[in-house]
Amino acid sequence: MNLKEKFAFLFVTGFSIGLLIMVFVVSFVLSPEELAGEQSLLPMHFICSGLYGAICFSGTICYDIEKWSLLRATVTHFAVVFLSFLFVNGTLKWYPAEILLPVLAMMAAGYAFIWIIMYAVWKAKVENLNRELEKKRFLLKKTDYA
Amino acid sequence: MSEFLDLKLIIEADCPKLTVCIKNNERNDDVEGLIAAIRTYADGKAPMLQGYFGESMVMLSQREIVRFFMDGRKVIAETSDRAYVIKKTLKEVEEDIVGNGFVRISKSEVVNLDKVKHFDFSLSGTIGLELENGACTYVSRRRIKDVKEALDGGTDHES
Repeated sequence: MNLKEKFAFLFVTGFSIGLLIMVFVVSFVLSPEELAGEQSLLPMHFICSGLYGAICFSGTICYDIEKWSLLRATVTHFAVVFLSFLFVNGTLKWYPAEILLPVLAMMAAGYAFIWIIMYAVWKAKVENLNRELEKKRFLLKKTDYA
Repeated sequence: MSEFLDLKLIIEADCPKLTVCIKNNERNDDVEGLIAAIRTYADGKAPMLQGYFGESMVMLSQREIVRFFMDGRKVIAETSDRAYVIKKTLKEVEEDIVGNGFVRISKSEVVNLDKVKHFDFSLSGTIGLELENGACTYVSRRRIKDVKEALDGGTDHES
């Protein structure tokens, strides 16, 4: 799968998951009174939820950009996801404004945690590569008649 | 066959690649000699590449090439002291060098694993690679699996 195909797949998957989450919220979370108040905006809620899911999922494509470091990809994804959340929340008022700072802090902590895990995993992979390289070099020295 | 060694030849129609297996009770000079002879034969089979340095055309042995990389639209073959232009696409070059210790590390670069000094991992999460000629480059995270497989393949005669 090339990058464009992967982006399209992630976009569609994310959009579908966003829609499913909104179906769940409308069916089980919102009270009938709250639902009645939002009737005219319901299509917007569904579309924005789908789009937000699409942005979150398809945004992970930045980890596949060859020239980008892990840090750049993580910061970019975090910025895209949070800014999208700000826009959607500002438009549709899903949450009160007071929670935005705690949401930012929680998201930043979550991304920092993910970054630490990814860093540790890749560092271990690179150390393993160096061990394999040493083994190969040792064997080359023993057999190099050139 | 002789007192020195027994030679066993196995022909299997579904065998994907010529594989040599050396069996002995220890790794001694005879084993090293056999491995060296096989490597020399295999190196001789690797096609040479036409490189251009200015107006001059030079035949390059794959063993001396440190890496191939794209410079704009040109493919450059770098040895320990010079860079040569190869008048082929990187994909065509890869077809000539497949299985000879080279591995693609990014969309625009192929390196000779025998010429790699070490890998490193920076704080920002980029995988760097230092080559014997002093050049430093980057390995794409997507290609790490290919690099590992190529290294594992090269150390197979240890198992």
